Amino acid sequence: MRYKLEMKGIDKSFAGMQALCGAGLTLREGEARALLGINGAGKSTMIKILSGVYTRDAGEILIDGQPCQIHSPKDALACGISAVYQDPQMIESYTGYENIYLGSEGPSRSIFSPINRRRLRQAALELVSRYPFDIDVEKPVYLMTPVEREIIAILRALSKNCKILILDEPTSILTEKEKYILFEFVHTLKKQGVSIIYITHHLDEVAQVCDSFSVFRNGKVVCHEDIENGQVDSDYIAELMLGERLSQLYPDRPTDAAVSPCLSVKGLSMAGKFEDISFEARRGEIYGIFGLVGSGIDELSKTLFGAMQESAGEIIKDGKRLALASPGQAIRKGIFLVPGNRKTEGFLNGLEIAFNITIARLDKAADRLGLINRRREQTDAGALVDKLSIATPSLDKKVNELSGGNQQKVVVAKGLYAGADVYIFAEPTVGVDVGAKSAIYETMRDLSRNAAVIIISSEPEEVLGNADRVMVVYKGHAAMEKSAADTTLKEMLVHAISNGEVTQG
Amino acid sequence: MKKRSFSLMELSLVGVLALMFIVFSILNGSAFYQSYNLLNIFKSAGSMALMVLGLTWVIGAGEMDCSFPEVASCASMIFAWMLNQRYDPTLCLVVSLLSGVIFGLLTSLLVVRFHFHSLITTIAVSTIAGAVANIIYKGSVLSIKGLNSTWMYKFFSKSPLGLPMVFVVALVLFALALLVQEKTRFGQYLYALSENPQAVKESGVKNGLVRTCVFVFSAFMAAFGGIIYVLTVYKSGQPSMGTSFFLNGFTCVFLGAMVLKLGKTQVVGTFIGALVLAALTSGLTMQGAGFAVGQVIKGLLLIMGVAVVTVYRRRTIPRGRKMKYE
Amino acid sequence: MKRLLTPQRLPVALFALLFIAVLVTFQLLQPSFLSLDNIINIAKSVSSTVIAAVGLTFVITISRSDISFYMTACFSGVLMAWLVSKGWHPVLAVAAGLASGLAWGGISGVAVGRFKLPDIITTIAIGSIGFGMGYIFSDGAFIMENFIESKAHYLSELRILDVPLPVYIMLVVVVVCYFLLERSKFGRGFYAVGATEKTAYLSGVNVNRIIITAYVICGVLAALAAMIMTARQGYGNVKITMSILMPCFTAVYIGMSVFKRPCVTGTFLGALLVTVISTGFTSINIPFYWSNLVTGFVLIAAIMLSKVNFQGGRARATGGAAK
Repeated sequence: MRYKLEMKGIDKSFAGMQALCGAGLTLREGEARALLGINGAGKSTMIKILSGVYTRDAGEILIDGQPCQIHSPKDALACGISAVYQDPQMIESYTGYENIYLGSEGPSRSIFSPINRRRLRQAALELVSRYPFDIDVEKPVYLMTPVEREIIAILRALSKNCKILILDEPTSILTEKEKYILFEFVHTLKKQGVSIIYITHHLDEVAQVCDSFSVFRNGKVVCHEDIENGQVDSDYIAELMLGERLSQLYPDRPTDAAVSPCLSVKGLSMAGKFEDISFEARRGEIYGIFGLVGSGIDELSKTLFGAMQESAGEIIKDGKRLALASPGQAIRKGIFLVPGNRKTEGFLNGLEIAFNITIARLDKAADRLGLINRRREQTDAGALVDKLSIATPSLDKKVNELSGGNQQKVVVAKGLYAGADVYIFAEPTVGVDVGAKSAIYETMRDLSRNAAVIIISSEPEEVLGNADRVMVVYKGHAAMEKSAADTTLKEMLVHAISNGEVTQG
Repeated sequence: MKKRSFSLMELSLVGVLALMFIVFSILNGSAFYQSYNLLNIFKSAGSMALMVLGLTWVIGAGEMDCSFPEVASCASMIFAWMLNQRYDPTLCLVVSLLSGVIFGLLTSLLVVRFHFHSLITTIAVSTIAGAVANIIYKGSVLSIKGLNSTWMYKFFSKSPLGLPMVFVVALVLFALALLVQEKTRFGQYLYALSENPQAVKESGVKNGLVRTCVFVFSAFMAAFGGIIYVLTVYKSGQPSMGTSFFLNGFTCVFLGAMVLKLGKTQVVGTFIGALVLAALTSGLTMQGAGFAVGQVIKGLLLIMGVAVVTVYRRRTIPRGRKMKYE
Repeated sequence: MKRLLTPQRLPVALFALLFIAVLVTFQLLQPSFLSLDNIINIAKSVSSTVIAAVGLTFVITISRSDISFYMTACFSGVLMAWLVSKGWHPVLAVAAGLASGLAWGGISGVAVGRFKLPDIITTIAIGSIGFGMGYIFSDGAFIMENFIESKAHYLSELRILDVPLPVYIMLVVVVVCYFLLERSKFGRGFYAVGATEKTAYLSGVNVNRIIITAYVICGVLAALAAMIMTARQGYGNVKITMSILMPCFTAVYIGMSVFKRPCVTGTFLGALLVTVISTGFTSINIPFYWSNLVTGFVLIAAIMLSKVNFQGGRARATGGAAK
């Protein structure tokens, strides 16, 4: 059997961190293959290599049996490969058809060649007529629903003669009804011979759209299987995704920790993001909150920190109700957040390590006049750099020049310097190497001796591995709350992807 | 064709224009409507609009150009000096327009190739252009001998259909510009760039070329505007005529952004903006209002325009949930 | 030798060389250039540029622009002259001028910080309103009444130990702002907001207050510069600071190219270089526009240099996009 696409022995590493190791994958014409795996397993690296965003270190890519060189998105496009990501880049005020044909409005390459909108519109209508849905391509994109945007992005790929379509979590912000529209679309595409790589966390979708699936774990593909009769065994897949039991990465739970209540959250809601979240975080233990990307956990972490406005509910710390107007106030009240997006929320771009570490508690580094005591700052920051073993030649190094793991350690060091009773870690180890991961987990456990630590993450393993009690959030609702000893990864995952109902077909 | 419904907000500037005419005709009586006054309004609106035609697109593409007033002064001085040296008028025109192109190329070289911030680049280019303008005739006004006999002077003194030639030229050029803006890829990419440069890059558009064209065209139109002012207003080279254009130019363009296209600067708006400004100036002058009142009103109009556009844009283009300070 | 010339110090050394070269050139062309009198003269004329440019440094530090300060400063300058002509004590008039600068800066700051209006165009508008309001006092005419009589010109001409008052004011401004921006905990906020706004907010920095403060400082210092320039001329002139936009931006950018980030020290050195060039040209009887030409090219060169130094910064700014 000849494959439309064959990827063999793909290796890729980033700054010494192996992201893919001998990964492979095949795709027949008209086949839809699901890529499954927890965050960081290597799925997204794989498709970024295929779509030309990254260049592979080793391995080969064959299309129709011919080896092909893909070094840039342009090359990928020329090979008929297009990727549609979660939140497609669009010109918001332009109509659907203008977005579909942006950059390829006509045969001429001259930028002053006329644009024939009527022809474009007709071409778009014709394109649309091949598929089983009704979409108004004359509507500006900003008025479109998420599914319509997704469809426009897919149509844009199809208009460029795409033969291999990569869909990266296309349903993460869609409603059930919208999903159905998208699935119908995907089925039609398959019938027309387009091969599809489908990345998702939702197993029910896999059963509905895909013909086969591959499971990634730690940069390797651990299983390729066909789906028969539209049946997927979610227990079996969850096991494949997780592999061996929790590794040594996670520090042991202390047996003698003195537990006392610290922060309690009651009925916290933010319209459209999360609803009625209640839990209690205690000193002496780590509380884990697990939810998929887009399930509202990022907003939840910022609301707990006073950076976003809740629509209802209350946050009570040590018996006193907190009304947090800003993160500054939260820090003064003893709450600290290690935010989810390191680059735009975690560290200060272009500024030194010491600067980054002290920024949240400057009064500690300053004298009575408000002047920074450089020597004290250097000593204190240096101590934290040593404590977290941040690899850097000097404290004057710019944080953005460090590796991802060390960047994140700097953000953690900022929290340590600020000092708090409640530490919230949101997605603390995205893009972080194993060594830094274990150091960060170690620090969290350390902190939990005197403070309440909350870990909020979309990686089930790290939540279960670290936390003493866990909550699973499904679409903004608490789907489950249990002691870590009483639950399993599988159970958590099942709750996060399907609200606890085991899906079959 | 594209269906387009005009929202109330998009037509508000036309309303402002109408209101202004009503107010001034009440205040000034029939004098405001006298043909010579109306012709004056058209004339100054036409020249101003021509000068900032290119600026409209620079801002439309999400960049900035502060150099247009000085580029205009410089072109006016080169034009005047060459005419006085008895060069062929056509050659004078071409060379002074070329000076604009050179400044535009300098700006785009720095902004597009070297990734300079366009604001600070054009401040620098503006200083250089201003310096050159002063150097040509040691910083003094250069009156032109024999301007009346050149073909372009005669051309701009005509008044076809009873309208000032400048206004007609402006109408024609703006109509052409509208075609380019609405019916070519250039226009399509221009506004796409200001909204989402990433998406434009991903779609394989030569965005550097688009931006270069935008800066060069802006400087070219500034130079052209400078020459128009020499021909129709000053009759001399003015090394520092730019200062009065700075605010007026931006006000035209940003007032224009209130018309159509969701708060983006575009040529129709700029033209209407220029008319509003010219009517305002004329009406205020007839009222005997001083420089201060005019300047303050223009500034307030500008800030209102910006505020309305910002608020309107924020409403129509949702960008996820924001943190409290945003 | 290697220790002395670290990558950080190299631009400083280059700057020093350039500065000395400029001084030597002018000295050779005009033997009285480095006389004590002329040095004091240069110090006096550099003072207003330095003061205004230091204010601008705060706004550039938070990664924003202010095109209003040089126009609103005109208002403050002429307000001061007008109040003096109405019989106010010069000190009170100066205080009123500073207050007006504070108000103008506050308006810009609130518009940009609180209401998130686009900085450049908003400040152009506010600046023109300020400049227009400056005409209210005398409709653009000079205000000379009572100016010399009340000794208002002492703000520029009073000499203490042979050194003019503006030089002292400049030194105080530079020192205070240096400690404020570069040494105090408060100053850290400006750099943080300029680097990554969201991170700054999530680290407890009050972003909007920082933005407003930066514009206020810029407005107040520009007003101070305008009043010193007014005092130097000896009468109120509404166009007093219309020419300082360019030297101020140039000064800040030269500083950035030397020290890799906007800072008070850098701005001070930058302003010094710009002023030495322009006074140098004047001292050898070359008109102002030639020095403008040179300054324009110096500005471009400075940005170019700062780009070279910022290379690491730029690569990360485009981040993952540039694969």
